[in-house]
Amino acid sequence: MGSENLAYALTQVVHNFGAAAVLGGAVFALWPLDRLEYGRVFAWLILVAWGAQMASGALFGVTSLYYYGETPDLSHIATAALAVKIAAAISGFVLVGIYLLRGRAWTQAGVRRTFQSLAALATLALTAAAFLRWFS
Amino acid sequence: MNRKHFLAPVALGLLLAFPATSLGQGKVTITSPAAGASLDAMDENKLVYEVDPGPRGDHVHVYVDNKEVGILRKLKGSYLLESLDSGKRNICVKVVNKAHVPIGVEECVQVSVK
Repeated sequence: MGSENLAYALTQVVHNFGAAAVLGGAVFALWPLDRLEYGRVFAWLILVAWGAQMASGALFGVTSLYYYGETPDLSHIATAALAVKIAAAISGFVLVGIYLLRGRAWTQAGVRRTFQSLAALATLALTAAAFLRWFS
Repeated sequence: MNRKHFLAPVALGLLLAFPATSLGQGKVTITSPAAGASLDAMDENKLVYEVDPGPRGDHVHVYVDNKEVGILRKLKGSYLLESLDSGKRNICVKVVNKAHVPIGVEECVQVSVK
């Protein structure tokens, strides 16, 4: 049981810090002061954090498979919440990736909208996470 | 690498290598309905249960014909089985861990609904 709890806990550590970074990275690029001149630094943090979110999310499933031979048993609401989380993570990862590839040519307003969208996607994912946690 | 630094990863490896040492502990008892009972679809049919989650369990899921219909966080109590379709129905109570994975501690009863 110790190893199982340790595996879940370490995965949760990565997932929690990933969640903090996807939201915090996007918000602090915009508020309380506009720091969009450091947009690429924030963007790299957010890219790595979304990657960590997806990897650790998958690792929860892998851990369950390893210990019990099955994935978590989710209700309809929890399944919908998981789908929202996955969609938000993929959208966030792709959006910040596009910004890192092409954002140098974008206007200041375009970069601001990108970080606002990233903050919204992170908020959506964190909200869905609560429904996933408590509707299962 | 000195001996102290060598032992820590070995201990962690051993810990992870033996995951199934306490599988099967815990118990679910379904007091009502009894196995083989006939239920009236128009009645308020209550599932009465008691659970010992064991060291790995956290809470309980209720299933009708393998479809999750409820989440129970009390280890002893009752749950209203809503709108049971007529016919033979398989009602299960399964202990799950914090990640909502069934840990193999469960009880199922088959009933007839008219």
